[in-house]
Amino acid sequence: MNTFQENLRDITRRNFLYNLSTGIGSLALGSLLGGCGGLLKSDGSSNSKNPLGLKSPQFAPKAKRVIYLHMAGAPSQLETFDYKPLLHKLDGQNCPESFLKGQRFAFIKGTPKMLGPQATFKQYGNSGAYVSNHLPFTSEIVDDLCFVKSMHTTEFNHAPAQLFMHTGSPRLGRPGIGSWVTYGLGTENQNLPGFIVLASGGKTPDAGKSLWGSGFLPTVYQGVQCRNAGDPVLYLSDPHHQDRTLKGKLIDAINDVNQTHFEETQDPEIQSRIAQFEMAYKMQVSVPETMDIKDEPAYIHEMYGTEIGKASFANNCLLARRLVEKGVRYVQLFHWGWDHHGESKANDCEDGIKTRCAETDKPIAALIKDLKQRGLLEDTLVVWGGEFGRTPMKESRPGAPPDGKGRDHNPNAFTVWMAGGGVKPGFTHGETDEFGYFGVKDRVHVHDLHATILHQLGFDHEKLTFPYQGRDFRLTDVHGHVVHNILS
Amino acid sequence: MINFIGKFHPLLVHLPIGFISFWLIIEFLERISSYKSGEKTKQILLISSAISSIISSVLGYFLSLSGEYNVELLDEHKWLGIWLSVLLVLISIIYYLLKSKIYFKYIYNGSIFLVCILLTLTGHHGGSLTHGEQYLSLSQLSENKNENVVEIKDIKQAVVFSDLVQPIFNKKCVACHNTGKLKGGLLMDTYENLLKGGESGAVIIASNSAQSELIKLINLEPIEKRAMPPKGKIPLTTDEKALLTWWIDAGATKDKKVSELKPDAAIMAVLTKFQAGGNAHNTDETPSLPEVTAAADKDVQAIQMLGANVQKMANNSNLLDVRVIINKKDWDDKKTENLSKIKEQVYILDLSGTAISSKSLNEIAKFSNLNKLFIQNTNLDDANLEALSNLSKLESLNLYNVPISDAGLKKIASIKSLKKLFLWKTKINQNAIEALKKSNPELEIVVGITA
Ligand code: HEC
Repeated sequence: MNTFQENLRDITRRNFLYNLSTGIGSLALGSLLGGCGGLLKSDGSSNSKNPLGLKSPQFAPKAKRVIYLHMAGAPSQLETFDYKPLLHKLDGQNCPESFLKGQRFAFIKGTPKMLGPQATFKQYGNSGAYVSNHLPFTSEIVDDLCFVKSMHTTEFNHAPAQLFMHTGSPRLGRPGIGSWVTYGLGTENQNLPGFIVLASGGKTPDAGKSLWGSGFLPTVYQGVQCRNAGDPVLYLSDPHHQDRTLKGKLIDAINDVNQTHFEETQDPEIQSRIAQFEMAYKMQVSVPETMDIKDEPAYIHEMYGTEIGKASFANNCLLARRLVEKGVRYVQLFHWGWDHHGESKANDCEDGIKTRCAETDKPIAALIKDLKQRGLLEDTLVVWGGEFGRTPMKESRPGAPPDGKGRDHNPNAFTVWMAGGGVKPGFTHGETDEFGYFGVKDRVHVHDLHATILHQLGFDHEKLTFPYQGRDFRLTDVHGHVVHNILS
Repeated sequence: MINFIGKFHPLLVHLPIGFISFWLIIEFLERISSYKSGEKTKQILLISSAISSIISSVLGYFLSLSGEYNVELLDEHKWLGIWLSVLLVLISIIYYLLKSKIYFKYIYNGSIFLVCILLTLTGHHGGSLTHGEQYLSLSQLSENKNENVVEIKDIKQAVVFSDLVQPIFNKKCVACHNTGKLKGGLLMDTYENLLKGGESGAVIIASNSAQSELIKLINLEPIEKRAMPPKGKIPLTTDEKALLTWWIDAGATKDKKVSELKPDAAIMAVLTKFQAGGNAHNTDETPSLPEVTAAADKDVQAIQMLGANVQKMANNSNLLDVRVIINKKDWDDKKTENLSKIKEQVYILDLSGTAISSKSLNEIAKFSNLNKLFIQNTNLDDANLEALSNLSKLESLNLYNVPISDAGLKKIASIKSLKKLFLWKTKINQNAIEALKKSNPELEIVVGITA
């Protein structure tokens, strides 16, 4: 009999009604019913009192940490890595009917025209990977990258597709990869959150903060977003005239009370609360220290293209390196603004994408090189990608300029690359058809990507589960196959 | 619950076997000597055999529900077991009722004979279920040449079919696809039989792996019904699948050598893993780690108290991943000494940025299973680096931002097992690095950007 059930027996009718009337009890009961088990079941190897304590994976891992670079809005594979010479020839012609049959598009109506690649391509490195002229710095690191050209997803609108990319479900309420990973492995640095989110590009992604919510997992596993400017985390610095030791004592006292309550109720959310108070206290010192990039030498700033005090994707890349260097388990970067529909020049697949590439190309290449020279790339898995791909057809929506060079959403094919963490460097997996419209060889579904990420971290994705609402949930739901071909 | 009870089947089956054997011995002795046992004894033995074999059958049925066994073999075993139980019940009754009849002797003797046969067969099938059909088979006596596959020295000279492909089939398929078994009508013991195909025709279409039934079936997920080898058997590894696919695409030849089929770089990388010492046959899921005894909990806790993260590499391993992540500067040589209690278990050690001196290296040199060592950002120098040459399993060494020079590099170069070396921001000259790269091309040296 587990503690939770024993605990339920203690709740007598009278006691239950009393608790209900005070409200708190009913809330506690709700989360009790929801999410016990997971923590209580945890094996002896972990410090089960601290939900963020280190836990061993199921088998020897290749990667210890993850940096996920999400290009929100979905970059076009056809202007970045998926070179389709034939599409040039078809530029401006009507799209063949066969392409449209049975497909649903977010915006395209009627018969669209084809749109040739708006970039030039060359092969680079020993691996001979094609990279577009928008990404000169990335072309220098292709021999460290592993491209998956045949990604596909089931969603064709941003918010659900982003949720799908991170939580394995297009609907709200599921934990993201970062939450699963910190739930499974705990955190290496007890002074910093295990899951940190940095967003740039002017907006947070369409799906909002649910992308790093912990879903039904205890809330300690939620991602902590750090801001680009001002205090990295709000409300962390002490109010004027408040003494830090006093604050420390205050938190100790609150935690003692909470601990007593936890022992009575075994509600894991109380443990979360205790851990969060402690974490916040430690973060008062550790976060400003980590997020302050002033102490980086000039050549590092030069390499990333960072400017102290500026909010940029480059700064976030440098921060990502600093965070994994300190043992943060999962660092999630978002860079918004890749939704190049072509309704204006600034937002098309010619100029718009060029701008976004220019913002991200140098810092990403710098990040990979920097991780590599520090020996971090070996056990840090870096993932780059959007939430879906874009169509080889031109999208002309009403009101858009007739010569606009935009592409619509395409869930059937997009490119993701990975680096480090035990994936094959200088390798390409999967192929799309001659137009980059559909994957035709070795297709990889989002669930497969998730299974592969977890595999590199030492987990069988079918066995990393959490009991909720009467069944065991997993990141990959009932799907997902590890893509063994890309593992070194 | 039922599953759990079922697990007692392998234990309990030995009861009826014991009872029956005892009964058979008595019957045997009575026939060759003047020995006479009491009637009661035989009756007790018979009834005990009958009851215990019924119980075993029921437990066996529970166990079979787990679905972990080869269906056909299981079916045979099940029915043999049930018939044996029925027979024993019948004999018990006959023995009780018909003892005085004249024809009793014939029925009784016949039953003894039948029990012997049923018991042997049931037992053999049970054994095959648990230990595999190859465990006890006559073919072993004549064909054990399959067992010790010749080690491949030079992959380029290996004959693709007989040296690479057939050994995989022998190991993972022939158990069910041989003249004795012939599952799906497919024989996989020789090249000719393989090409003949099975019930549904050819399973290999030369130069077209995508259309070859065999390749389709080996790529199915294990839970699918037609997946080969069927669920529960040792699956093919990714490398083995890649090899079979390539062999078919290259024409499914019989006598051609690897070099004659012009492998490209990608498949060559896979093929070299089939060379002696390669890991192509290791299943993908469990990267093999050296086995060690577990470190004492109190030693681990003591080290954790000093401020290091100590964690098992994996749930199924006793090796430890030891990292000093926070308050690095508080970690000194004295603290390193404490690691000696877990010297066998340390697999990864991260003392980067700590206050250790070259004295710590003496301690680290004792970590017999150390695989990765992070000592970057420390004040170490060339002194005492030779201590590390004792580390016979060290594969990755991180020394970036450590002021070592060419002399230090020479000392490190003597670590034979080393595969990756991080030397960014050291005082080593480019020439020395180039020289090391030449003398040890396998070693990957990362030097980083120049400031
Ligand atoms: C546990 C026994 C077993 C093992 C081991 C096994 N098979 Fe089979 N195989 C079968 C059975 C049973 C069938 C028939 C299935 C059916 O008809 O649906 C079959 C059918 C086949 C067929 C289809 C034949 C046809 O013409 O229908 C192929 C191809 C095949 N197996 C290949 C393999 C390969 C390759 C291996 C080794 C990697 C293998 N098998 C290992 C039991 C086995």
